[in-house]
Amino acid sequence: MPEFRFSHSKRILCLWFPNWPIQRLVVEQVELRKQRIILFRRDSRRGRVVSAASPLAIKGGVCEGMPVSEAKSLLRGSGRFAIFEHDWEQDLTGLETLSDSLEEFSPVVGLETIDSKEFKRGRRPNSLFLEVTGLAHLFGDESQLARQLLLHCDGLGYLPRIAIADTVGEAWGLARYAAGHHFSETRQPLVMPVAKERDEIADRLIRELPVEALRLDPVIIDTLFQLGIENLGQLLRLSRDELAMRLGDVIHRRLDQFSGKIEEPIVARRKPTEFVAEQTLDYPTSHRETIEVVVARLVCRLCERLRASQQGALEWWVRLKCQKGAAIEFRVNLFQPTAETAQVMPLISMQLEQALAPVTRRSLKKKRPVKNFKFQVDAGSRKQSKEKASQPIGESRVESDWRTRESEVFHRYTTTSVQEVTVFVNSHVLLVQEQRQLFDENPRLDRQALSHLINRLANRVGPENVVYPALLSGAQPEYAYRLRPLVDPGRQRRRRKSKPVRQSHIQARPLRLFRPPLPLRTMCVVKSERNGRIPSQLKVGDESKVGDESKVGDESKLRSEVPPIFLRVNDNVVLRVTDSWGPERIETGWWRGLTICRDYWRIEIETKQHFWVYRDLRSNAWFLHGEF
Amino acid sequence: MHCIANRGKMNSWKSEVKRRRGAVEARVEVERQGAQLEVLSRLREDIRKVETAGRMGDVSRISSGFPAIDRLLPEGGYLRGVLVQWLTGGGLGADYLSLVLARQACQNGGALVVADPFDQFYPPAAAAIGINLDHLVVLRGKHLDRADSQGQADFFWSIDQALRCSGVAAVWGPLGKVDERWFRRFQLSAETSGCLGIFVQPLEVLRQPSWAEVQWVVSDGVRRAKGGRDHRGSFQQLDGPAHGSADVQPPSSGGGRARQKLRLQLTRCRGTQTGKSIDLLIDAITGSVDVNRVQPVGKSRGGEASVFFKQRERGELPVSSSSSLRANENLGSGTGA
Repeated sequence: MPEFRFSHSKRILCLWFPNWPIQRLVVEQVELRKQRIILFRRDSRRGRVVSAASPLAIKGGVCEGMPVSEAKSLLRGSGRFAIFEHDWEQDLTGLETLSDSLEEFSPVVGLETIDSKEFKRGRRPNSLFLEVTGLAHLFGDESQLARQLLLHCDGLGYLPRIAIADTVGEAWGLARYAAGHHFSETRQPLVMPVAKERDEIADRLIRELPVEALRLDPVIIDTLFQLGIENLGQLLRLSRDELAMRLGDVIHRRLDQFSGKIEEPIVARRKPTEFVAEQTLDYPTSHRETIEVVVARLVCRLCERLRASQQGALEWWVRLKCQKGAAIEFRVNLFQPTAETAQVMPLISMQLEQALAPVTRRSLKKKRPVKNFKFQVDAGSRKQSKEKASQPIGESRVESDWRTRESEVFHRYTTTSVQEVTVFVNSHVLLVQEQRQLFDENPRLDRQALSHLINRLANRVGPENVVYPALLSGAQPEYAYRLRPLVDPGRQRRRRKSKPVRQSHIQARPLRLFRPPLPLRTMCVVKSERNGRIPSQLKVGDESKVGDESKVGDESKLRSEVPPIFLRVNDNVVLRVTDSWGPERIETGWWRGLTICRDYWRIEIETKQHFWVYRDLRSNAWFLHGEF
Repeated sequence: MHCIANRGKMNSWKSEVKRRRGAVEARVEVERQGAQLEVLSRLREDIRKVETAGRMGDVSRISSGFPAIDRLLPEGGYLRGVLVQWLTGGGLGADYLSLVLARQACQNGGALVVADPFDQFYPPAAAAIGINLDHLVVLRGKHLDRADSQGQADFFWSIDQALRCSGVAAVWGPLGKVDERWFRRFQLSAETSGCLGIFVQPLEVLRQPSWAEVQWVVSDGVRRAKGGRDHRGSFQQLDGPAHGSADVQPPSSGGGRARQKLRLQLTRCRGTQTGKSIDLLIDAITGSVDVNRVQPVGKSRGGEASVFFKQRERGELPVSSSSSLRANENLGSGTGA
């Protein structure tokens, strides 16, 4: 057997979140707990297919890749279920937010890196890596560190599997394929000893890992299975050169990464910043004004340093380490870089007030039990919480007990006093000074005032609600633009100048678009009498001539060419169409799922109101999409 | 003979004196009227100065973008730092007309803030009108939960902050009903910064007190016996096939250019006579607005606004709204007629 192990001093902790999209969704929407949930994606060939399902749904027979219609038919008979479109971006954001909260365990926290090929294949990150080299003694030992991390995640409502090993590849493989089993047997997170200290049991555990633990391409794994190679022990007995010759260099590289021959770095989400200021309080306090004064002092100190290096901060982080419980953390993003305390502090104060609100409320209530909470703020409840956390974390528990947000709020309520305040600048750029004009300056051109406004709005109502539009080249009206947040440290500093818009049809599109389009339940269309021609006059109540949508036969060709007469939005509102222009056919979006085929009409109803309606040529249903 | 000649001279002299006296009197009358007009205009200017003392020094007028509409407004446009209300049933082109005004307001620089509580604003259409998307900020109402009053308060706070900002030229937004106190705050904020607030609101708001300087009612100009509104305040209910068996003409296929007819009625404006209305025709291709017919004051037949004014004259309005309107007038923000 070839030499496999390379000795080095790094220690990597991996958290793998089984069924991450569902976990994230359940944590965000507590009401979905213990429900059968299906997430679907749109496939260009197969339409809507299941991309993730909750354990209860899986139990009901749903599996990944199944058409949604089939999954629905499986679940329909046995009660309620929820279906959502899979939001990959939200999954990533959730993982990033979680990684930010883990920085109290390690300074280097990063997401699992996915190469472009795997990404195209649909693989998304669902693991986090922490470099814990030399940190174990701060928590007792590595096992204690892993346990505390598990408790932290449990408190937030997540159920990860944790493994500590020498390399990123090894930690990932162990977390994915061995940690669950190990935890159910020993009630301990899986901590693999360093290479030199490993015994026969540890080596056997590694050898028994399936070949999937090497993060290989599914095609290669299939080939290996066909060759009868199922675990690492079998794979390592083969000659490396022959493997590379038959299966490509990937397997070579993955083996080296697993063993540590090739260094695989953790891509830290937040780089260690040079602008940090912290202060430990002599006496822990929950008094907001006191904390605000300390924060202001630290911000002032950082602003001086920023000005000295001609830098402007775009993203500020404030971390309040509490005496008990998780740290309170929040960030303040800015529209334009600044190094002025007067500009930053009002925004931080606003966030601080929100962040400390539960703590303040609790201090006013003097430790009274909080209503509508399962837990009570006393020692007993904490004990209960610990007992719950020590329960085995396996598939069965995933099914039965999703953690709720209540536990997060419970954490907030148990935090009493702030012990340490840290303020740091996570993103900063070179500050460009613009000279103002002395005379005749138009106040409307005051960019400073506008940037202050955007900062204030984004911090009060959330950056996702203060946006700017960017036009896209899409024929489908819904995809002809995108709204992007104005306050985002990752965005380009200057907006791309929008291209001049063709103004030949100024009012071709309505200024208000209904999202989603409103279905027009009943639609009276002209039924052809002779040779598909429209009759000159129709009696309204005459069903034989003006038919209900459901009663009219399959005359899709005629329908698409004939403007509508009556639109019925609901039972009470009937719109009589007096004039119409169209149709404008839009066929697009095959790459997003099923091709969109619509015939758009601009219609004028009797009250001279103009609306934008369309007929979906696939379902022959009519929709109201906008008003002019 | 001599005597007769003298009498003739006397007569001509008398008529000459009379003519001269008439001319002098006419001149005096003209001068007196001129002085009166001058005094009146000076007084008007003084009143305007007192009323708009809180506003910025910028007294330039903003054109509505359409000369026909400008002609209905005093001094041919809107002042900066005021609120403009567009009341409509939806789908009648009020969005277009009001956004063109917003575009005009942003011509000399400044950002346009779009308050979009219902998440319905469609930027490509705004870009086609000529709105510069590089200077556009959209305030979304995603956090607006109807059951949560805090969300709504936050949204109105955002609008108020935008109106208060000197870097913003105009705030445009389709809003529902706005609380009177918020409306007053909007007005004060707009006055402070010189920003133009343009709000498109449903017709129900017509009967509520307003702090807008200019209020337009956009309607189709046809008065109906039975009228209803449903579904986001957009549709007007009609007698459908279930209600009778009237003859129905199939819709004419427009074929050529789409044109939208509407009636614009000035129901509130300081410094001019309200009640004036104008029938407009908007071309969907070019966006040009043609005048169909100008309705003189008091001759306007259709529309809810005229009904409102008649009710108000007869004192049929609820006490609360009419009294608050009177209160507004006393405070100097009522109609200037």
